[in-house]
Amino acid sequence: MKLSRRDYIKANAVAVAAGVAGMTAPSAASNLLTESSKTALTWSKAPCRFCGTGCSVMVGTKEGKVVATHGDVKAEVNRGLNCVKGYFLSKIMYGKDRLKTPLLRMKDGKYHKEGEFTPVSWDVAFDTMADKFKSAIKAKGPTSVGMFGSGQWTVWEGYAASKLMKAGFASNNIDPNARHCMASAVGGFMRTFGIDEPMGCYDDIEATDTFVLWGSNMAEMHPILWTRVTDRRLSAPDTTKVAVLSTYEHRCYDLADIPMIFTPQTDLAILNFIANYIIQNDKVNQNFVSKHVNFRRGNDDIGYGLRPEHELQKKAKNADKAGGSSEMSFEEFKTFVADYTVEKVSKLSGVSEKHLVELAELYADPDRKVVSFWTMGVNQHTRGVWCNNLIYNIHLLVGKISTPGNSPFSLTGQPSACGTAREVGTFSHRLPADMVVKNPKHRAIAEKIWKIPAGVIPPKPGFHAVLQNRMLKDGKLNAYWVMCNNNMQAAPNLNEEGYPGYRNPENFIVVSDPYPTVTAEAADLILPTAMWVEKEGAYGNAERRTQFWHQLVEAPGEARSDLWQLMEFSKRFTTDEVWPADVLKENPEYKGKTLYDVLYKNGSVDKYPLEQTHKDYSNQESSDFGFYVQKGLFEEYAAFGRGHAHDLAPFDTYHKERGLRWPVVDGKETKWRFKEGSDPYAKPGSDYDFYGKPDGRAIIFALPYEPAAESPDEEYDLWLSTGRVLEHWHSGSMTQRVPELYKAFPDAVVFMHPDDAGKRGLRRGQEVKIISRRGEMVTRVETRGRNKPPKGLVFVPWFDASQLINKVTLDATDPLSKQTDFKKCAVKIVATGRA
Amino acid sequence: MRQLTENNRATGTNPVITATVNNGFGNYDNMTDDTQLFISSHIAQTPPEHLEETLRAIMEHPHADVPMVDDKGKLVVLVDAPTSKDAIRTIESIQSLANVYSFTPVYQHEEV
Repeated sequence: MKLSRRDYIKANAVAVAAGVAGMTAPSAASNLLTESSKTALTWSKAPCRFCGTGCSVMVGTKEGKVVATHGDVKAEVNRGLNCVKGYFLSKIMYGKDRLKTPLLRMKDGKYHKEGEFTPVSWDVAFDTMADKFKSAIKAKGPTSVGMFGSGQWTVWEGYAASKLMKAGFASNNIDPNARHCMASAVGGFMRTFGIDEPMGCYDDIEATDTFVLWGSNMAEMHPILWTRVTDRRLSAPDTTKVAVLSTYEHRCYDLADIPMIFTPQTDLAILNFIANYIIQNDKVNQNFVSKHVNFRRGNDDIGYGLRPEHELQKKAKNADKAGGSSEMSFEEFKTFVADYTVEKVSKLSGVSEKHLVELAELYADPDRKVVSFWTMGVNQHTRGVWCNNLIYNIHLLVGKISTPGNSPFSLTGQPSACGTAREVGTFSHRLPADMVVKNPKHRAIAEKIWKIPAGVIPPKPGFHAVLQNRMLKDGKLNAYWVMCNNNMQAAPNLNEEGYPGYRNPENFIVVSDPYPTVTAEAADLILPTAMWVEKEGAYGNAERRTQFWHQLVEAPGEARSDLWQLMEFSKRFTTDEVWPADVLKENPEYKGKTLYDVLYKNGSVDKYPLEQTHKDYSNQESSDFGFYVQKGLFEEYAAFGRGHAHDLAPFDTYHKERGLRWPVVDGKETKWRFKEGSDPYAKPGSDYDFYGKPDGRAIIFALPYEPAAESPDEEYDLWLSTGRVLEHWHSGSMTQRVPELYKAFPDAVVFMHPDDAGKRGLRRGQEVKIISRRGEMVTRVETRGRNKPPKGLVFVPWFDASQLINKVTLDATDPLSKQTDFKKCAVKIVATGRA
Repeated sequence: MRQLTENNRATGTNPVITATVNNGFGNYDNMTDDTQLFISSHIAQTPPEHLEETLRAIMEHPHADVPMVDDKGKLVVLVDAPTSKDAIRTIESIQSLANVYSFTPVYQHEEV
């Protein structure tokens, strides 16, 4: 019997779903042969383009176009499942307004800041851009140029960008949008453990019997992981428990055994109460603590990362030494947390004493394993690093860490926040493999691997995300390249700190993007970008898993990958134009060379010939540059981490595997770090070895509750929290272009309590203004649905380019991580008077 | 397992019940334009005691088929619609059925 092409596709669809559901597919559906010309789709694996979960999908291409996707049943992460965004991946590249040619603001045939966007060639685009970058460097030095990148860059794109900025332009002014997302998690890891990224992995989900969610709406933001949590909870209903903490009720509460809504910012007090409860009830794992932990008192009153002239900054005692700490004993720590009694913390947080004790008991009970998950509620917090530290405190006090099912687990929001932003070190203060620019030994290592002379990489950290916008506004950052993000829609306080810098006549702004985003429209030059499977790529997910994919289709028109753009642009500069004169004087052999020569044609990056690329797949960049670009960049980058607890497998291995979790030593991935037996770097006899710290001990920090930067008052009487929804990813520039996703949640709304609406004379669906001290935004009231805020708090998602909630948000940051608190500011809501 | 609908003739044994896929395809004879494809598969989860009524409710959708179910309440749902809009309407309607606790998309194929 022969099937038509349609029948064959349907049979496949059923077979895949059956496999995912654990059913046996009927042989009639899966094994029938048909005419190959009718059925031929080429299937290849690729990690999903969206969140940090790192699901693998199978991508079906036909005649140069992606036409089908399904969850990859061979992938450990998602086991064939997709969330609704992953399900529509095949459509993200085919929006009707896809950019296909560079666009430059022009008037009378030449560049003009107030001109209209006009199609130009890549040569004109790059020549204009190079001229602006060179002028800025000549006039004000390397700190006048900068770049804002992404946790969605592929590993080699981030690496090539970091090299171009730090080793090429001798400027540390490169930061990823992961600064808005994961910087507090990084700060927490570095401060407590001296090394970044989670010690556990997703296998913890099936190994544990307790889940505690701290400021994480996994049901919508990490739906596939939430499916695994739900399966675990429902398959062991008598033993597993789920506790959920947030400032408003969301979909995760459907599964919560201990549902808790707390007053914003009081998570700090709740965490200290748990530590106090563990100590007071004699549940400290003394053996673990005595061998593996030190105690330190962190500086308090550290300010809010606002401009130095802001009153709150001037008042803060330790604004200039926020990271400071001093030794303390266990007894002193005990006294410190003793202040956080259940009565006091219940009153402060609004969580009942009963629930607080139940929550604390989950951690204290020696017979219970615990996984703590957290995301933006903890990280987007003016005390985000502290919050991370405090979660580690309680896991360390009871020794529930680094073993299956015992895991403090920071989840990431972007597909390569870990793999690119963190591991590659695209932050303004970092270098690859957790090294930092201010450490002279680290700079020396980087300069050696990069084969550049000593003294090129500047020692001072560059401008971080929020500071970049401030410096653009102040005219100190003048030539600026935004890649793979939509920061005009994302960054806080658009009116006062975002838009003015982009339109500052002193500045030249370049935005590389596949679509005309809010950010692109605010730029002077737009560069059309290849996306996802239009290029060969690598991402690193939240559990340290590195995954590769091949280029499966060609990018439309003249769109080119960020990698190609970075490398091609580097050809327009010579070392004489950008490197310090004294460095060149001491190293005359580098004089007159292009940045392309010294950064990418350096004997390492161009080591692998074109012939090593896969014969079945295109590779635009490699074909253009004449060598296997991605392999060369990856292998040079991997040299930073191999032998230093960040070991990556050989390049070719990743094209065959569904990802591997680093460190990969002797071909084996590492599931649980810091535990002897499961981590090859844990010293024999140590049992646990927190080797990121010189003495192998993690640190428990004494850190207090301190209030938020801005709280509701008589005039601005509501808390505003912002975030995402299941259907849209970040600023919606991809998901809003998928008709099904757009239709599922077309416009942002303000979720509010019915009583808060009623008190203001508002009804569901009514048009309102949300007003803060910084700006206002018009939206509609939603009093039902998936998010149920308590009285006194409203929630607005930020995916909608027609409703920019970042006109309202405050640019207060964690002084340690420099990450913005997008979850707390004060607003009022009034009717617009229209229907 | 119980008697299923006409389109889902049981051929397996507990706990997995399968039905011949081809029977379901007969519903789509009216779709003659083979270049237009809007095909997707999903897994619906319902409490086992509501399996039969949920199955019937899904099968009432003209563009949906349920080629496989199991006794734990999982249903493989196949949607083949003439237009993208019909596909969305079908999916949304099934998602909102009483007792459909979760509706997970798995496979998506679209050619226009």
